[in-house]
Amino acid sequence: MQYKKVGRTGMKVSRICLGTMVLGTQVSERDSIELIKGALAAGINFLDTANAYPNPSVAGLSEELIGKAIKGERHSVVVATKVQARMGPGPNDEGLSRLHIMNAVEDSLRRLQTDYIDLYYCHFPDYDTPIEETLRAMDDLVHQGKVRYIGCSNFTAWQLSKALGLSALHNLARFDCIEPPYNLLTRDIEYELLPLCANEGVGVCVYSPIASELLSGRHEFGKPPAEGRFTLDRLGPLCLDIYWSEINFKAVEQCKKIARDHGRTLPQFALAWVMSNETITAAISGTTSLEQLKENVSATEIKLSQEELQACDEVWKMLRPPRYFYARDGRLRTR
Amino acid sequence: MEYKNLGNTGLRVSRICLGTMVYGTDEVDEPTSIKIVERALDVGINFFDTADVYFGGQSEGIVGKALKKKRHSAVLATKVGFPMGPGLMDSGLSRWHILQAVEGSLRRLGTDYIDLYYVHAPDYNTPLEETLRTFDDLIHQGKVRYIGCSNFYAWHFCKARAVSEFHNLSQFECIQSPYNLLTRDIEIELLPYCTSERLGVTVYNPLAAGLLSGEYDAKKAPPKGSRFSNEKTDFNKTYRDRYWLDNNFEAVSRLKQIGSEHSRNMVQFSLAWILNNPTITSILCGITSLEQIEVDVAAIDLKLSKEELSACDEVWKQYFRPPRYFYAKVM
Repeated sequence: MQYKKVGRTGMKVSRICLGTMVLGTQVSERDSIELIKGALAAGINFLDTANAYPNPSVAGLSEELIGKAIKGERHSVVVATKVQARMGPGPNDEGLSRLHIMNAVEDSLRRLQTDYIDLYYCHFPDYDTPIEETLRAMDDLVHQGKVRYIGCSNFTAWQLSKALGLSALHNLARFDCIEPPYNLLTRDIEYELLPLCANEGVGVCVYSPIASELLSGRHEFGKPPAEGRFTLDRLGPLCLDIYWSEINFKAVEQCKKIARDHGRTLPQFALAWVMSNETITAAISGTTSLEQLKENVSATEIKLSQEELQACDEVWKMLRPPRYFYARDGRLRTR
Repeated sequence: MEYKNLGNTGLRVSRICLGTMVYGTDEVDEPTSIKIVERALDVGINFFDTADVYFGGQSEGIVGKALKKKRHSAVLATKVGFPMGPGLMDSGLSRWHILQAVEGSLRRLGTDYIDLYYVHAPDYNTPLEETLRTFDDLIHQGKVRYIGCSNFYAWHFCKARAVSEFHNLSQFECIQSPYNLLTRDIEIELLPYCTSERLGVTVYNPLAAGLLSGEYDAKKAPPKGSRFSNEKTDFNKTYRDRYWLDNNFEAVSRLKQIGSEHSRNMVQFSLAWILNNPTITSILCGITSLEQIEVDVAAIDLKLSKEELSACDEVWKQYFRPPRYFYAKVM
C-alpha cells in the first residue's frame, strides 16, 4: 500500500480510502464489518463516512458500523466524518452553525465509539451561516481535542480560498483537505480547485473515482442498469441523473479500450488514473466486496504510461468541447 | 446611459466601456479613434479601457490625446504585466517592473493619475504580496485610484483579496474576464464569488472578437478590417486560435435563429444578454466606427425575454457541455 501526507499536514493516509456511504444498504451490516476489517488488513488506514450515511432514514448507521469494526484498533485508523446534512426535523438539525456543529460532533463521537475524529469535514457549504462562525466552531473542536484536522467537501475553489484567507486572518485552524468528485469522466476540478490545492498545500481526497460504477464497465446504454449503485432506492436516481448519458457511455467505451490495450481491468485503470495525479491524496473507493477490495488495492501498484495518460486526455477533450478559458495559466509556485 | 458602481467602491462607471486595444491598427486609424472617443463621451460613456501592451503603448497614446481636455470626466483604466521590452524584468508584476511601467503609462496617457490600474494577468513568479504592496504604494502616492486584476482564476482573485486584508493593503476591487454567449465558464466559479462579495466585473470579448455578429463564414477568409484579419499585430492568429472554432460557428448559427425569431440585431442581442446579468458591471466594446456607438449603446435598453435567455442556455449546454455535475452545491 502507498501512503501520502494529507496536504501540508503530517498525517499519512493510504491512497485508497474506504468509502462507507453504502454500508448498511448496498452491503449488509455483517458484511460491512468484515469489509472494514478486510480493508484494514490490506493496509488501508483511511475510512471515510458522514453522519448522514447511508441515507436519511437510517442516518448514522455507517458511523455505527465503523465504530464496531475498528474497536481495539482505533489508533491505527484515520477516521473522517462530516457534518452539515439534515439529521432531525428541527431548524437547527442541519447546517454549519456553531449550534449544530457542537451537537452533531457529540452524536458522531458516540456512534463511532471514540473520543476523537481524525478529519472532520464540512459536508456542503451553508449559505445561511457566515463561514467565520463555522471556522471558529471547528477551531474550538480542534483545541478541545475532539477533532484533529478539519476539511471541507463539495466547496467551490473560491469558497475554499476564502475560508483559507479567513483562517489565516483570524489565526484559526484551516481546511487542510477537500473532498470533491473526480474521475475520467468528470475532470472539472482541474481548472480551479486542483491548482488552488497544489499551491496552498491542501489535501484532496476524491469521491466517485469510478463515476458511481459507470467505470465498472458493467452497464450498457439503452438497457436498465445492472444491480448496484444505480439501482439503490435513494442514491440510484441521483447517480443516474449525474452519469447515465449517451456521451458518457461513449467515453466509457474509449476508456475500456485503453485499459484493455494495456492489460488492465477498467476499474483498476480508472483508480490508477485518479492516483496518477500528484495533487490527489487518496481516492475514496466505495468497495462492496472483499474481492473488489483486492482489485482496487492492486491499483495503487500501477503506474500508467504517458501514452495511457494522453489517451485519457483525448477522452476528456471529446467530453468537453473546446472554448476559450478565462484565466491565464503558468507554472504555479509551490511552498 | 446606465451607470453602475464598480463593485463595493464609490466609483460610478457606464455599463458600456470603450475598449481601445486596436486603436491605431488595421481595424481603425488614429483620427477615427480620436473621434470615437469624443463621441463616446458625448453619449455618456465615461469608462475607457486600455493597457500598456496594446500596440506597444500606442493605444495609451491615442486615448491620452483624445481625452486631453476631458480628463476629469473620464474613468481611465490601464494595465500592467505583459512584456514591454526584451529584458528579463520588462514584464510581470514585480515591484521593479510595476514602478517603471506606471511611469510609462502616465507619460503616454498624458496624465498624472490612473483611475483603475489592473494587473493584466497573474504572475506566478512574483509573490502576490509584493505586487499588492506596490499597488498600495501607488494609491498612497496618488498615482492610482483603484486597483483590479484581469485573467485571474476565482481562487487566485480571492487569495489576493485575503492577502490584502491580512496586511491592510488596498484590495482588487474588480476583475476583467472574457465573457460572451460562447465563453461562459466564468459562471461556474468566478461570477458566484463576485456576486457573493459584491465585486466589480468588467468583461472583454463580448462579441467573441466579432464572431457573434454572425457575419463570418467558417469556410471563407475573414473580411478585411476584422479582428481575425488584423495583420498589423499578431491578433489575427491569437483570435483565430481563440474563437475560430467549428463548435463556435455551429453555436452562432443556432443563436442567429434565436435572434431572428425575436427580431434582434445579433450585436445588440449578444450585448444585451451580458447586460441582463446584474453581476456584470460593464462591457468592453471595441468600437471601431462612429455608427457602431449608437448600436452598442442601444443594447443597454434591450431586455431579453425568459424564453430568449433559456434558449441561449440550451445553446451553451448543447455545444459546450458545461459541467453536468459540478463539485459543489451552488446557491
